[in-house]
Amino acid sequence: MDIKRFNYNKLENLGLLNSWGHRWETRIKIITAFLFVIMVVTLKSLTLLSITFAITLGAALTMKLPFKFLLIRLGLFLPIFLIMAIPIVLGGSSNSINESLHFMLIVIFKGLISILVMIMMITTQRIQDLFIGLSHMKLPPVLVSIFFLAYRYVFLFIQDITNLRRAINSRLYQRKFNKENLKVYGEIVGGLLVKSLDRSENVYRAMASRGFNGTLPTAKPRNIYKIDLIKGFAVVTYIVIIKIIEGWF
Amino acid sequence: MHLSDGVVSMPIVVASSAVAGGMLLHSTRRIKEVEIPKISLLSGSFFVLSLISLPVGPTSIHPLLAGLLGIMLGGKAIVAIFIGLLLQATLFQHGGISTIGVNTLLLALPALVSYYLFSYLKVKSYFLKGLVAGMMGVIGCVLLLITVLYLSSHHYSGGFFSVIRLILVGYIPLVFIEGLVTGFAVAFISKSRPKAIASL
Repeated sequence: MDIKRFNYNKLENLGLLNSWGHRWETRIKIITAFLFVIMVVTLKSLTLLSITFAITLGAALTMKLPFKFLLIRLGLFLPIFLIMAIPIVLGGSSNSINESLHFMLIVIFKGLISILVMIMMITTQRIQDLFIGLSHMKLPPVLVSIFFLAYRYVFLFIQDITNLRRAINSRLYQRKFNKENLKVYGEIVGGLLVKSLDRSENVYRAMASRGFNGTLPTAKPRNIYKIDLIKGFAVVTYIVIIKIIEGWF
Repeated sequence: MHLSDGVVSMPIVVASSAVAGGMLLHSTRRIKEVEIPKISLLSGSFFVLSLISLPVGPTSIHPLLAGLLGIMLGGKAIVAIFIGLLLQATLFQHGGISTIGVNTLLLALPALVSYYLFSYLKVKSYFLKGLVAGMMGVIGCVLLLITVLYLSSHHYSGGFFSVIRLILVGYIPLVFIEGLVTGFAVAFISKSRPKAIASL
Protein backbone atom coordinates (compact mmCIF):
# COMPACT_ATOMS: atom_id res chain seq x y z
CA MET A 1 0.00 0.00 0.00
CA ASP A 2 1.53 3.33 -1.03
CA ILE A 3 1.32 6.52 1.02
CA LYS A 4 -0.19 8.33 -1.98
CA ARG A 5 -3.27 6.07 -1.93
CA PHE A 6 -4.19 6.85 1.65
CA ASN A 7 -7.23 9.07 2.10
CA TYR A 8 -7.82 9.87 5.76
CA ASN A 9 -10.87 12.08 5.20
CA LYS A 10 -12.76 9.28 3.49
CA LEU A 11 -12.15 7.05 6.50
CA GLU A 12 -13.46 9.71 8.89
CA ASN A 13 -16.54 10.38 6.72
CA LEU A 14 -17.45 6.69 6.64
CA GLY A 15 -17.43 6.64 10.43
CA LEU A 16 -20.07 9.37 10.57
CA LEU A 17 -22.76 7.44 8.66
CA ASN A 18 -25.78 5.99 10.45
CA SER A 19 -26.57 2.28 10.19
CA TRP A 20 -27.02 -0.73 12.44
CA GLY A 21 -23.28 -1.26 12.22
CA HIS A 22 -22.50 2.33 13.23
CA ARG A 23 -24.88 2.07 16.19
CA TRP A 24 -23.25 -1.20 17.33
CA GLU A 25 -21.09 -0.70 20.42
CA THR A 26 -17.38 -0.82 19.50
CA ARG A 27 -16.18 -3.38 22.05
CA ILE A 28 -18.89 -5.93 21.23
CA LYS A 29 -18.25 -5.33 17.51
CA ILE A 30 -14.50 -6.02 17.87
CA ILE A 31 -15.03 -9.19 19.92
CA THR A 32 -17.72 -10.45 17.49
CA ALA A 33 -15.48 -9.71 14.48
CA PHE A 34 -12.62 -11.58 16.08
CA LEU A 35 -14.74 -14.66 16.90
CA PHE A 36 -16.34 -14.59 13.43
CA VAL A 37 -12.98 -14.53 11.61
CA ILE A 38 -11.53 -17.30 13.81
CA MET A 39 -14.53 -19.53 12.99
CA VAL A 40 -14.38 -18.64 9.26
CA VAL A 41 -10.71 -19.57 9.12
CA THR A 42 -11.56 -23.09 10.35
CA LEU A 43 -14.10 -23.68 7.54
CA LYS A 44 -13.09 -26.12 4.80
CA SER A 45 -16.20 -26.08 2.57
CA LEU A 46 -15.92 -23.89 -0.52
CA THR A 47 -19.73 -23.68 -0.87
CA LEU A 48 -20.24 -22.47 2.70
CA LEU A 49 -17.34 -20.01 2.38
CA SER A 50 -18.80 -18.51 -0.78
CA ILE A 51 -22.22 -18.20 0.90
CA THR A 52 -20.58 -16.57 3.94
CA PHE A 53 -18.70 -14.16 1.67
CA ALA A 54 -21.95 -13.15 -0.06
CA ILE A 55 -23.71 -12.64 3.29
CA THR A 56 -20.76 -10.67 4.71
CA LEU A 57 -20.74 -8.44 1.61
CA GLY A 58 -24.48 -7.96 1.99
CA ALA A 59 -24.02 -7.01 5.65
CA ALA A 60 -21.34 -4.48 4.67
CA LEU A 61 -23.71 -2.92 2.13
CA THR A 62 -26.52 -2.70 4.71
CA MET A 63 -24.05 -0.74 6.87
CA LYS A 64 -24.14 1.88 4.08
CA LEU A 65 -20.52 1.27 3.11
CA PRO A 66 -20.22 2.32 -0.57
CA PHE A 67 -20.03 -0.64 -2.99
CA LYS A 68 -17.28 1.08 -4.99
CA PHE A 69 -15.20 1.56 -1.82
CA LEU A 70 -15.58 -2.14 -0.90
CA LEU A 71 -14.78 -3.24 -4.44
CA ILE A 72 -11.61 -1.13 -4.55
CA ARG A 73 -10.46 -2.39 -1.14
CA LEU A 74 -11.08 -6.02 -2.08
CA GLY A 75 -9.64 -5.49 -5.53
CA LEU A 76 -6.35 -4.23 -4.06
CA PHE A 77 -5.68 -7.63 -2.49
CA LEU A 78 -6.90 -9.92 -5.23
CA PRO A 79 -3.63 -9.60 -7.21
CA ILE A 80 -1.70 -10.79 -4.13
CA PHE A 81 -3.90 -13.86 -3.82
CA LEU A 82 -3.68 -14.50 -7.56
CA ILE A 83 0.13 -14.26 -7.47
CA MET A 84 0.08 -16.97 -4.79
CA ALA A 85 -2.44 -19.02 -6.81
CA ILE A 86 -0.26 -19.32 -9.93
CA PRO A 87 2.61 -21.34 -8.37
CA ILE A 88 0.14 -23.44 -6.34
CA VAL A 89 -2.00 -24.37 -9.36
CA LEU A 90 0.64 -24.39 -12.10
CA GLY A 91 3.87 -24.87 -10.13
CA GLY A 92 4.32 -28.52 -11.08
CA SER A 93 3.24 -30.12 -7.82
CA SER A 94 1.93 -33.69 -7.63
CA ASN A 95 -1.55 -32.46 -6.60
CA SER A 96 -4.20 -32.33 -9.33
CA ILE A 97 -5.09 -28.93 -10.73
CA ASN A 98 -8.64 -29.27 -9.34
CA GLU A 99 -7.33 -29.96 -5.84
CA SER A 100 -4.91 -27.00 -6.00
CA LEU A 101 -7.60 -24.71 -7.40
CA HIS A 102 -10.01 -25.79 -4.65
CA PHE A 103 -7.38 -25.06 -1.98
CA MET A 104 -6.60 -21.64 -3.48
CA LEU A 105 -10.26 -20.64 -3.74
CA ILE A 106 -10.73 -21.53 -0.06
CA VAL A 107 -7.73 -19.33 0.88
CA ILE A 108 -9.00 -16.48 -1.32
CA PHE A 109 -12.52 -16.54 0.15
CA LYS A 110 -11.20 -16.65 3.72
CA GLY A 111 -8.91 -13.70 2.97
CA LEU A 112 -11.67 -11.66 1.36
CA ILE A 113 -14.15 -12.34 4.19
CA SER A 114 -11.49 -11.28 6.70
CA ILE A 115 -10.85 -8.03 4.78
CA LEU A 116 -14.59 -7.27 4.68
CA VAL A 117 -14.89 -7.90 8.43
CA MET A 118 -11.91 -5.61 9.11
CA ILE A 119 -13.45 -2.89 6.95
CA MET A 120 -16.74 -3.17 8.83
CA MET A 121 -15.00 -3.24 12.20
CA ILE A 122 -12.78 -0.20 11.55
CA THR A 123 -14.86 2.11 9.35
CA THR A 124 -18.21 1.99 11.14
CA GLN A 125 -17.23 4.41 13.88
CA ARG A 126 -14.94 7.39 14.33
CA ILE A 127 -11.30 6.52 14.99
CA GLN A 128 -11.55 8.21 18.40
CA ASP A 129 -14.42 5.88 19.35
CA LEU A 130 -12.31 2.91 18.25
CA PHE A 131 -9.50 4.01 20.59
CA ILE A 132 -11.93 4.62 23.44
CA GLY A 133 -13.37 1.13 22.93
CA LEU A 134 -9.90 -0.47 22.82
CA SER A 135 -8.77 1.36 25.95
CA HIS A 136 -11.68 -0.19 27.88
CA MET A 137 -11.03 -3.74 26.73
CA LYS A 138 -8.56 -4.76 29.45
CA LEU A 139 -5.57 -4.38 27.13
CA PRO A 140 -2.33 -3.19 28.78
CA PRO A 141 -2.75 0.61 29.11
CA VAL A 142 0.83 1.14 27.89
CA LEU A 143 -0.02 -0.58 24.61
CA VAL A 144 -3.12 1.54 24.06
CA SER A 145 -1.17 4.73 24.85
CA ILE A 146 1.57 3.77 22.38
CA PHE A 147 -0.99 2.90 19.70
CA PHE A 148 -2.86 6.17 20.17
CA LEU A 149 0.30 8.30 20.05
CA ALA A 150 1.71 6.38 17.06
CA TYR A 151 -1.57 6.91 15.18
CA ARG A 152 -1.53 10.63 15.93
CA TYR A 153 2.02 11.08 14.68
CA VAL A 154 1.75 8.93 11.53
CA PHE A 155 0.24 11.89 9.65
CA LEU A 156 3.11 14.14 10.70
CA PHE A 157 5.60 11.58 9.39
CA ILE A 158 3.68 11.24 6.13
CA GLN A 159 4.00 15.03 5.77
CA ASP A 160 7.74 14.80 6.56
CA ILE A 161 8.22 12.15 3.88
CA THR A 162 6.25 14.24 1.37
CA ASN A 163 8.47 17.25 2.11
CA LEU A 164 11.60 15.10 1.83
CA ARG A 165 10.43 13.76 -1.53
CA ARG A 166 9.86 17.30 -2.78
CA ALA A 167 13.30 18.32 -1.53
CA ILE A 168 15.17 15.47 -3.22
CA ASN A 169 13.16 15.79 -6.45
CA SER A 170 14.05 19.48 -6.60
CA ARG A 171 17.68 18.35 -6.43
CA LEU A 172 17.16 16.24 -9.58
CA TYR A 173 17.12 12.96 -7.69
CA GLN A 174 16.43 10.06 -10.06
CA ARG A 175 14.77 6.88 -8.86
CA LYS A 176 17.42 4.40 -9.94
CA PHE A 177 18.68 1.26 -8.35
CA ASN A 178 22.30 2.07 -7.44
CA LYS A 179 24.51 2.39 -4.35
CA GLU A 180 24.28 6.19 -4.25
CA ASN A 181 20.49 6.14 -4.16
CA LEU A 182 20.47 3.47 -1.47
CA LYS A 183 22.80 5.69 0.56
CA VAL A 184 20.37 8.59 0.11
CA TYR A 185 17.49 6.40 1.17
CA GLY A 186 19.42 5.03 4.18
CA GLU A 187 20.26 8.55 5.34
CA ILE A 188 16.63 9.64 4.85
CA VAL A 189 15.58 6.72 7.07
CA GLY A 190 18.24 7.63 9.63
CA GLY A 191 17.27 11.32 9.50
CA LEU A 192 13.59 10.62 10.02
CA LEU A 193 14.34 8.33 12.95
CA VAL A 194 16.60 10.95 14.57
CA LYS A 195 13.85 13.56 14.05
CA SER A 196 11.34 11.17 15.67
CA LEU A 197 13.60 10.71 18.67
CA ASP A 198 14.05 14.46 19.15
CA ARG A 199 10.31 14.95 18.79
CA SER A 200 9.58 12.19 21.29
CA GLU A 201 11.69 13.96 23.93
CA ASN A 202 9.66 17.16 23.45
CA VAL A 203 6.42 15.16 23.45
CA TYR A 204 7.34 13.46 26.72
CA ARG A 205 8.25 16.79 28.38
CA ALA A 206 4.93 18.28 27.24
CA MET A 207 2.96 15.26 28.44
CA ALA A 208 4.79 14.97 31.78
CA SER A 209 4.19 18.65 32.49
CA ARG A 210 0.48 17.94 32.00
CA GLY A 211 0.46 15.03 34.47
CA PHE A 212 1.11 12.07 32.17
CA ASN A 213 1.67 8.96 34.27
CA GLY A 214 1.98 6.23 31.62
CA THR A 215 -1.72 5.96 30.81
CA LEU A 216 -3.54 8.29 28.43
CA PRO A 217 -6.90 9.28 29.89
CA THR A 218 -9.80 8.49 27.58
CA ALA A 219 -13.49 9.28 27.60
CA LYS A 220 -16.05 6.80 28.89
CA PRO A 221 -17.17 4.39 26.18
CA ARG A 222 -20.76 4.11 25.02
CA ASN A 223 -22.95 1.90 27.20
CA ILE A 224 -23.53 -1.64 26.03
CA TYR A 225 -27.22 -2.23 25.42
CA LYS A 226 -29.22 -5.40 24.86
CA ILE A 227 -29.41 -4.72 21.11
CA ASP A 228 -25.57 -4.71 20.86
CA LEU A 229 -25.43 -8.12 22.53
CA ILE A 230 -28.23 -9.41 20.29
CA LYS A 231 -26.31 -8.32 17.17
CA GLY A 232 -23.17 -10.06 18.42
CA PHE A 233 -25.09 -13.19 19.37
CA ALA A 234 -26.79 -13.29 15.95
CA VAL A 235 -23.47 -13.11 14.08
CA VAL A 236 -21.81 -15.75 16.25
CA THR A 237 -24.91 -18.01 16.00
CA TYR A 238 -24.80 -17.74 12.21
CA ILE A 239 -21.19 -18.89 11.99
CA VAL A 240 -21.74 -21.67 14.56
CA ILE A 241 -24.67 -22.96 12.45
CA ILE A 242 -22.43 -22.86 9.35
CA LYS A 243 -19.82 -24.87 11.24
CA ILE A 244 -22.44 -27.43 12.32
CA ILE A 245 -23.75 -27.73 8.74
CA GLU A 246 -20.18 -28.31 7.54
CA GLY A 247 -19.79 -31.04 10.17
CA TRP A 248 -22.99 -32.79 8.99
CA PHE A 249 -21.94 -32.88 5.35
CA MET B 1 5.44 -8.97 4.81
CA HIS B 2 2.30 -10.38 6.31
CA LEU B 3 -0.01 -13.31 5.91
CA SER B 4 -3.74 -12.93 5.41
CA ASP B 5 -6.35 -14.94 7.28
CA GLY B 6 -6.77 -18.42 5.85
CA VAL B 7 -3.22 -18.78 4.51
CA VAL B 8 -1.86 -20.40 7.66
CA SER B 9 -3.27 -23.45 9.47
CA MET B 10 -5.07 -23.16 12.83
CA PRO B 11 -2.41 -24.92 14.96
CA ILE B 12 0.18 -22.41 13.71
CA VAL B 13 -2.23 -19.53 14.38
CA VAL B 14 -2.87 -20.69 17.95
CA ALA B 15 0.79 -21.42 18.76
CA SER B 16 2.11 -18.18 17.26
CA SER B 17 -0.60 -16.10 18.96
CA ALA B 18 0.33 -17.61 22.33
CA VAL B 19 4.06 -16.95 21.82
CA ALA B 20 3.53 -13.44 20.43
CA GLY B 21 1.11 -12.61 23.25
CA GLY B 22 3.57 -13.79 25.87
CA MET B 23 6.48 -11.87 24.35
CA LEU B 24 4.34 -8.74 23.99
CA LEU B 25 3.18 -8.90 27.60
CA HIS B 26 6.74 -9.40 28.82
CA SER B 27 8.04 -6.46 26.74
CA THR B 28 5.15 -4.17 27.71
CA ARG B 29 5.81 -4.70 31.41
CA ARG B 30 9.41 -3.54 30.96
CA ILE B 31 8.44 -0.25 29.26
CA LYS B 32 9.07 2.77 31.46
CA GLU B 33 6.79 5.82 31.29
CA VAL B 34 9.54 7.95 29.72
CA GLU B 35 9.94 5.44 26.88
CA ILE B 36 6.29 5.54 25.76
CA PRO B 37 6.60 8.58 23.44
CA LYS B 38 9.90 7.24 22.02
CA ILE B 39 8.42 3.82 21.17
CA SER B 40 5.22 5.45 19.84
CA LEU B 41 6.99 7.84 17.52
CA LEU B 42 9.48 5.24 16.35
CA SER B 43 6.58 2.82 15.66
CA GLY B 44 4.85 5.49 13.60
CA SER B 45 7.98 6.44 11.68
CA PHE B 46 8.89 2.81 10.94
CA PHE B 47 5.34 2.24 9.72
CA VAL B 48 5.56 5.23 7.35
CA LEU B 49 9.06 4.30 6.16
CA SER B 50 7.97 0.77 5.32
CA LEU B 51 5.36 2.24 2.96
CA ILE B 52 8.05 3.80 0.76
CA SER B 53 8.92 1.70 -2.25
CA LEU B 54 12.41 1.32 -3.70
CA PRO B 55 12.80 0.82 -7.46
CA VAL B 56 14.33 -2.54 -8.40
CA GLY B 57 14.46 -3.00 -12.15
CA PRO B 58 10.94 -3.07 -13.62
CA THR B 59 9.29 -3.27 -10.22
CA SER B 60 9.63 -1.84 -6.73
CA ILE B 61 9.83 -3.33 -3.27
CA HIS B 62 8.95 -2.22 0.24
CA PRO B 63 11.64 -2.62 2.90
CA LEU B 64 10.88 -4.67 6.01
CA LEU B 65 13.20 -2.69 8.34
CA ALA B 66 13.10 -5.53 10.91
CA GLY B 67 16.86 -5.35 11.42
CA LEU B 68 16.83 -1.59 11.98
CA LEU B 69 13.89 -1.91 14.38
CA GLY B 70 15.83 -4.44 16.41
CA ILE B 71 18.97 -2.27 16.47
CA MET B 72 17.01 0.81 17.64
CA LEU B 73 14.60 -0.78 20.10
CA GLY B 74 16.19 -4.07 21.15
CA GLY B 75 13.78 -6.31 23.03
CA LYS B 76 10.97 -3.76 22.73
CA ALA B 77 10.89 -4.02 18.91
CA ILE B 78 7.99 -6.48 19.21
CA VAL B 79 5.81 -3.68 20.62
CA ALA B 80 6.62 -1.40 17.67
CA ILE B 81 5.94 -4.24 15.21
CA PHE B 82 2.59 -5.05 16.82
CA ILE B 83 1.61 -1.37 16.79
CA GLY B 84 2.67 -1.17 13.12
CA LEU B 85 0.34 -4.06 12.29
CA LEU B 86 -2.51 -2.37 14.18
CA LEU B 87 -1.83 0.86 12.25
CA GLN B 88 -1.95 -1.07 8.99
CA ALA B 89 -5.31 -2.57 10.02
CA THR B 90 -6.72 0.80 11.16
CA LEU B 91 -5.55 2.93 8.25
CA PHE B 92 -5.72 0.45 5.37
CA GLN B 93 -7.90 -2.40 6.75
CA HIS B 94 -4.99 -4.56 5.61
CA GLY B 95 -3.46 -7.60 7.32
CA GLY B 96 -5.07 -10.49 9.18
CA ILE B 97 -7.09 -10.73 12.38
CA SER B 98 -6.29 -14.35 13.26
CA THR B 99 -2.77 -14.04 11.82
CA ILE B 100 -1.70 -10.98 13.83
CA GLY B 101 0.35 -13.27 16.10
CA VAL B 102 2.17 -14.94 13.19
CA ASN B 103 2.77 -11.61 11.45
CA THR B 104 4.17 -10.13 14.67
CA LEU B 105 6.59 -13.01 15.15
CA LEU B 106 7.67 -12.98 11.48
CA LEU B 107 9.31 -9.61 12.10
CA ALA B 108 9.89 -9.62 15.88
CA LEU B 109 12.11 -12.69 16.10
CA PRO B 110 14.47 -11.58 13.29
CA ALA B 111 14.51 -8.10 14.86
CA LEU B 112 15.68 -9.65 18.14
CA VAL B 113 18.35 -11.70 16.33
CA SER B 114 19.53 -8.54 14.52
CA TYR B 115 19.76 -6.72 17.86
CA TYR B 116 21.96 -9.39 19.44
CA LEU B 117 24.06 -9.73 16.29
CA PHE B 118 24.64 -5.98 16.19
CA SER B 119 25.50 -5.92 19.91
CA TYR B 120 28.00 -8.75 19.84
CA LEU B 121 29.58 -8.37 16.40
CA LYS B 122 33.21 -7.42 16.97
CA VAL B 123 33.55 -4.99 14.06
CA LYS B 124 34.45 -1.31 14.43
CA SER B 125 32.48 -0.02 11.44
CA TYR B 126 28.82 0.75 12.29
CA PHE B 127 28.00 0.54 8.59
CA LEU B 128 29.26 -3.06 8.42
CA LYS B 129 27.48 -4.02 11.65
CA GLY B 130 24.25 -2.48 10.32
CA LEU B 131 24.72 -4.19 6.95
CA VAL B 132 25.05 -7.64 8.54
CA ALA B 133 22.19 -7.04 11.00
CA GLY B 134 19.94 -5.72 8.21
CA MET B 135 20.67 -8.70 5.99
CA MET B 136 20.07 -11.12 8.86
CA GLY B 137 16.75 -9.40 9.55
CA VAL B 138 15.47 -10.22 6.07
CA ILE B 139 16.99 -13.72 6.03
CA GLY B 140 15.33 -14.45 9.39
CA CYS B 141 11.96 -13.20 8.14
CA VAL B 142 12.15 -15.30 4.99
CA LEU B 143 13.23 -18.44 6.87
CA LEU B 144 10.37 -18.04 9.34
CA LEU B 145 7.88 -17.36 6.55
CA ILE B 146 8.80 -20.47 4.57
CA THR B 147 8.77 -22.57 7.76
CA VAL B 148 5.26 -21.35 8.62
CA LEU B 149 4.03 -22.00 5.07
CA TYR B 150 5.70 -25.42 4.93
CA LEU B 151 4.10 -26.48 8.21
CA SER B 152 0.67 -25.10 7.17
CA SER B 153 0.09 -26.98 3.92
CA HIS B 154 1.90 -29.15 1.38
CA HIS B 155 0.38 -26.97 -1.37
CA TYR B 156 2.96 -24.27 -0.63
CA SER B 157 5.95 -26.56 -1.08
CA GLY B 158 4.82 -28.83 -3.91
CA GLY B 159 6.35 -28.54 -7.37
CA PHE B 160 9.46 -26.99 -8.88
CA PHE B 161 7.91 -23.52 -9.00
CA SER B 162 6.38 -23.78 -5.54
CA VAL B 163 5.42 -20.74 -3.45
CA ILE B 164 8.29 -21.43 -1.04
CA ARG B 165 10.92 -21.62 -3.81
CA LEU B 166 9.61 -18.42 -5.41
CA ILE B 167 9.72 -16.62 -2.06
CA LEU B 168 13.32 -17.75 -1.52
CA VAL B 169 14.37 -16.47 -4.93
CA GLY B 170 12.21 -13.35 -4.84
CA TYR B 171 13.61 -12.04 -1.57
CA ILE B 172 17.29 -12.33 -2.54
CA PRO B 173 17.48 -8.71 -3.83
CA LEU B 174 15.81 -7.46 -0.64
CA VAL B 175 18.49 -9.11 1.53
CA PHE B 176 21.22 -6.97 -0.06
CA ILE B 177 19.13 -3.82 -0.45
CA GLU B 178 17.96 -3.85 3.14
CA GLY B 179 21.46 -4.66 4.39
CA LEU B 180 22.83 -1.61 2.59
CA VAL B 181 19.97 0.68 3.68
CA THR B 182 20.31 -0.46 7.31
CA GLY B 183 24.07 0.02 7.17
CA PHE B 184 23.79 3.57 5.83
CA ALA B 185 21.00 4.43 8.29
CA VAL B 186 22.94 3.10 11.30
CA ALA B 187 26.13 4.88 10.19
CA PHE B 188 24.16 8.13 9.99
CA ILE B 189 22.44 7.65 13.37
CA SER B 190 25.68 6.64 15.11
CA LYS B 191 27.25 9.94 14.02
CA SER B 192 24.31 12.19 14.94
CA ARG B 193 22.67 10.37 17.90
CA PRO B 194 24.80 7.45 19.11
CA LYS B 195 22.65 6.96 22.25
CA ALA B 196 19.64 6.22 20.03
CA ILE B 197 21.01 2.80 19.20
CA ALA B 198 19.82 0.31 21.81
CA SER B 199 22.94 -1.79 21.83
CA LEU B 200 25.36 1.13 22.37
